[in-house]
Amino acid sequence: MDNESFDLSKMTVDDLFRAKRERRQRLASLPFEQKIEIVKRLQSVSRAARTNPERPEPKSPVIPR
Amino acid sequence: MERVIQILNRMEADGVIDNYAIGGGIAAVYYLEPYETDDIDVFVPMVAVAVGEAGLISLEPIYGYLKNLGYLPVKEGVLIEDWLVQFLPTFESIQDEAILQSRHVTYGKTETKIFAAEYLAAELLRSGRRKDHARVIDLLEGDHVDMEIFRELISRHGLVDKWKVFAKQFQVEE
Repeated sequence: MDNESFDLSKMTVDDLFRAKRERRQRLASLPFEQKIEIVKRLQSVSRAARTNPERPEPKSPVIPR
Repeated sequence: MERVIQILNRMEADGVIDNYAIGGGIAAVYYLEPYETDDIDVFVPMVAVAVGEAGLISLEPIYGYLKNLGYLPVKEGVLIEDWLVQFLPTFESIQDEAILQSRHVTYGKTETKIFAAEYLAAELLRSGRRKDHARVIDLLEGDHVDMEIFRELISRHGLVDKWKVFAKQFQVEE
């Protein structure tokens, strides 16, 4: 979908789900090597987020008594 | 990842493992959209790993071989060229058969073996974690699984009850 034809006000929930499904199919049909490259990038992003010193400490859940 | 596959093939050629196939997250990525997964799950037949007098499984032959190549154990696996590789001795009939019936795939210029979609779905169903179930749904919805083969598999490997619960929970046609 190009920017010219993109009109959010005319989009339905079905359109959104269809677009999401099509995106997943497009990604699934990539060559395996390319998919693994994406996996590696996702790993590095996740690792960077985990090791970020400014990352707030995760809060422990409070269990009601 | 090609280097990891080359190492696995070398281990097989050198007789450290009798056979292998990649399952888990990386196998799922082969069929599905890419998503984050931390390690490479390598299933190896139980006969390929040493079993001590007490019946305990030892991965020492595998770990020792890799150590000689400069790859050291990290957490629950071995770090090979920036990938955490987890060697999983088979303990279920579905896993043994998944290795034997694995799909031969070329990565770069190197051939490897990956669980066929039906076996991957059955093994993920058996494993039963929430993220495994999500992958089963993706495999089914993406038409990667031949349902006739899948049903025959789960029937033969005692997974019918799990499948019934799964199908009911996720409203999938049995």
